[in-house]
Order: sequence, then structure tokens, then C-alpha cells
Amino acid sequence: MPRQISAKLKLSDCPEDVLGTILSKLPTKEIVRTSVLSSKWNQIWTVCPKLRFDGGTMCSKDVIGTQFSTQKFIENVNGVIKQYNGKLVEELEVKFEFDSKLAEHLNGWVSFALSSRAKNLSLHLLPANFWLCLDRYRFPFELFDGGKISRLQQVQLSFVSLESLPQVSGFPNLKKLDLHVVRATQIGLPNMLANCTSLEWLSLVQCHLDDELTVACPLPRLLYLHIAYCGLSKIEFNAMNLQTFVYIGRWHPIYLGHALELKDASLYFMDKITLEDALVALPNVLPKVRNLRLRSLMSLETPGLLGKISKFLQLKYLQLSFFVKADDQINILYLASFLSDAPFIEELEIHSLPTLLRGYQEASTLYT
Amino acid sequence: MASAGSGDEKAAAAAMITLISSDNEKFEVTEATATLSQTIRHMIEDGCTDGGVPLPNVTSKILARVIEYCKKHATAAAGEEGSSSSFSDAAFLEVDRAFLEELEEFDDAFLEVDRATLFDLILAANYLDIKGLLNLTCQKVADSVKGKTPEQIREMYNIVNDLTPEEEAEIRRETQWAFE
Repeated sequence: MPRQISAKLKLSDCPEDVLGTILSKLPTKEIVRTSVLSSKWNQIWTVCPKLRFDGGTMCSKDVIGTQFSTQKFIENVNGVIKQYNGKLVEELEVKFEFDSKLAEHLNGWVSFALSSRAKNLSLHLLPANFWLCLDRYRFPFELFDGGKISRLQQVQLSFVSLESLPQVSGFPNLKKLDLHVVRATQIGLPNMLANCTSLEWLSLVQCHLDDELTVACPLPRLLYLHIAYCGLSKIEFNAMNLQTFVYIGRWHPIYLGHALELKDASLYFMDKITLEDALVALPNVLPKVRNLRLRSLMSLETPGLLGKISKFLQLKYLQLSFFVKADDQINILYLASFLSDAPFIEELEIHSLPTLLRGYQEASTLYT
Repeated sequence: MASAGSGDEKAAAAAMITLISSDNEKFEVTEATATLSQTIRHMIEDGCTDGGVPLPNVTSKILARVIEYCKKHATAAAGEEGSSSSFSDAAFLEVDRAFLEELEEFDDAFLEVDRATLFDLILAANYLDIKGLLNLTCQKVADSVKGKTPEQIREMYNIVNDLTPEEEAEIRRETQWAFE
């Protein structure tokens, strides 16, 4: 039976990184379960370089939803991490509804990720009823200080607060930062970003950033910027090589620096803008945009517009989706101003959205 | 299929590399096919491929399969690069999707091998550093284990349980959550 011998030889004799690759394709529960296969396997599973701790699968059924579930989760995660003592880890992901009992342990797990030289860190801590919870996990910036350089390349955080220290070093390798329902002081996020010179991808969704977001330091590698439902009254970036910008929010001043590489923009304004606003302000923010999607409640009247507009000189594709009030429909032909404004346009799509005015306004108040 | 053909033609004009299996069989492949392997890519960059690339860890049977995989995936990669400007977005996406579906079917058929061959492919993909093939084959092993009890896994992979019942009970107690 040579084939059987060969198969027997191979699974546990596979090179460590191959076993790690196989194991990382299994749920954490099943990875841990291999510890019971044999004395050799009792330790082998810790070659898996990805650690994903999900509250839904890491507590026994009888404690889920009870006051004991947090305690059990903490014990189980700590049990696994203990086995990894000193090993390298590529990815650490924690998915658990935040509870203040978790904070101290989260610090320990972030510290573990740092000392294990993790590249990816994800903390998904959003509780189902998050608007009822005041307490958030305060991200432990102090762990990133003291000369230690983190290898983190991707960080995803939800339900976290960023109260950054005046000088945060420690994210020189960070390429992707994804923040969801994160609270930060006005200088918290800019202070963090000031040292993220490798950052390529930034997304802020439903973040509370204390009204304004001004990131003065240049982010020369930033290619993608997504800001949605953040209730900001001013956005300022210095991202000269930005290629894609996605914005959902109110009509407020946006400065992106000399973003001359910016080719794709999708802008959904949740309040009423005038066609004039769009035509005068946007070409300055997006001077070289090629593909523009614009969605808004729009007032079409354009008093005194002619002669003072800038132009979209590179615009090739324009998609306009707008809500127009009934008494404004008479001005629909003003939309033609967009065409004279964009001399090289190749494709124009216009979607007139049904006037579900009330529903739309309700949605706006809900998100901001 | 038209795009697959044009990919081959393009590749035919490119440099050829000779790969030599452990049992001394020679395989002529295009550079585009060979460089799906990072190991071979580095050898080409260092200029050490004259007179063929000896691969003492890979048998001719396995190397033939690996080349089959690389040819298909190199064609797909060339197709993606070549067709970018000639289609409008929608048409391009359509071609793209058809390509991906074809590739997926190929991968599924490619994995219809016995377990010993699967492990040989994994070791070859690891040695040659072909990321796509390594992921594909490792996924197949992971899928075979998923949802199985320890007893089933032991039987499937001939793992002898050398733990005493007490030791096994102790491990299960420590990681009780994983067995519920």
C-alpha cells in the first residue's frame, strides 16, 4: 500500500508553512480541534499564521448571550494565545461585541500582535445596539511607542476610540486603514496619520471625528479615500497622488490638496445642493477627474452662473442621479451647463430619482 | 477561446525555458508560463537558466501537471493585460467573467486527483513558489478536513493516535469550547 504510506508521511511532515497555509483555511475552532489527533498534532496547529477569534464560535452555546460569555471568550482566546508563545503570526482578528471587561485583555492581544510581528490587525467590536453604548475600546497607542516599530500593514477597527498621544510613531508600514464607528478627537486621527507615510487606502465610515478633519501632513502614497456618514463640516487632505475618492455626507468644503491624479470620484450629498455649487466648486476639488458619479437632491436654478465656472477638462464619464422638486423641473435644461463645462465628455448618464423626499430626508438625519 | 489562442501566439514569440524533472525528462515552456513560479522567475532574473532548469524535487508526472496549471493561468493573465483598452468597461467585464468561470472549471477539474498526487502537487507548488497553485491545493486539503470529527480525520490521513485516553481527555477539557 505505498500510496497510504505516502499520504501518512505527508500531512504532518509537510513543511511548516504549507501546514500553516492549509490550517489557515479552516475556522479557528477546527484548527484547535486538531490538537487531539495525536501527540505530534497537539502542538502542530500553532504553525497557523492567522488567528481569528469570533465570539459567535468561541463560546459554548450555553453561555452565548449570558453575562458569562465575555469571560468565557477571554479565557478561550487567552488559552489559544498562550500556545502561541513566541511564534510569529501574520494576522490577528477579534470579533466580539465590546464590553468594558474586554478592554484590558484587548490591550494584551494587541501587544501580542505587535510582538508576534503581525501584518494584519482587525478588531471588530461593534455591538448590535451600539448607539446605546457609551464606552468604547480606547486604542492602546502607548504600545506603539517607545521605539518599537510595528510591522502592521493593515488595520481594521470598529467601535474604538482614538485618543492619540501628541506624537505617535509606529505605523511606518501601514498601507490600509479601515475605521468603522470610530470616535476620535479633532487631532486624534491627524496625529495618527501624520506618521502613516506608506498609507495607500483609507476608509472612514460612521466615524465621529469632532466636526472637522484636517490632515495637514502629506500622504503621498494615498490612492483611495472613502469617507461616509461622518458628519464632518470640513475635510482637508494633502493627498497629491489620490486616484479614487468616495464621499457620502453633507455638502461642505472638501480640499484634497493638488490631487491631480484623481480619476474616479463618487459623491453622494445628503443635503440639497444647487447645480451652481456643483459646477463652481467641484472642478476645483477634482480638476482632473475622468469618471464622476454625483448623487444629490439638487436645485437646478443657476442664477448668474455663466462665465464664472471652472471646467472639468478631463471628464469622460458623468453619472448624475438627482432628486428634483416638482416646481424645479422646469429648469431641467440647465443641466446642459454640465456639458459645456466638460468639453471632452464621452458618456453621460442621468437618473432622475423619484421624489421620495420625506424618506430621503429621514435617511439623512438617521446617518448624520 | 479566441483570446486563449491569441495568448498562445503572443507567448510563442517569447523566450523558451527548459525545465528538467528529477527523472531527467525535459519540458519546453514559455517564459510567461515558467515565471508563474517565483523560484524560476528569480533564476531567470539571475541568468541561471541556460542549459535548462533542473528541478530535482519534482517528478516528470507532477511537473507535467504543474506546467498544465501554469500554462492555463499564464494565458489568463496575458488575456487580462492584453484586452484592457480594446473594450469598453462593460464588455471588458463580460469577457473577464467568462474567463474567470472557465478558469474556475479548469481548477475544479485539475483537482480531481488522488490524495498522494495532491500532496505531491502541494510540495511542488511550495518548492516552485507558485502561490495560486499552493492556495488551490491547500484549500482542497482544508475542505477535506472541514467539519470532520478527529476520528474521521485520523482515518482519512492515517494518523495514529498515540495519546492515552487520559491525555486526550485533558486536551479536550482545556479546549472544551472547540469540541462543542
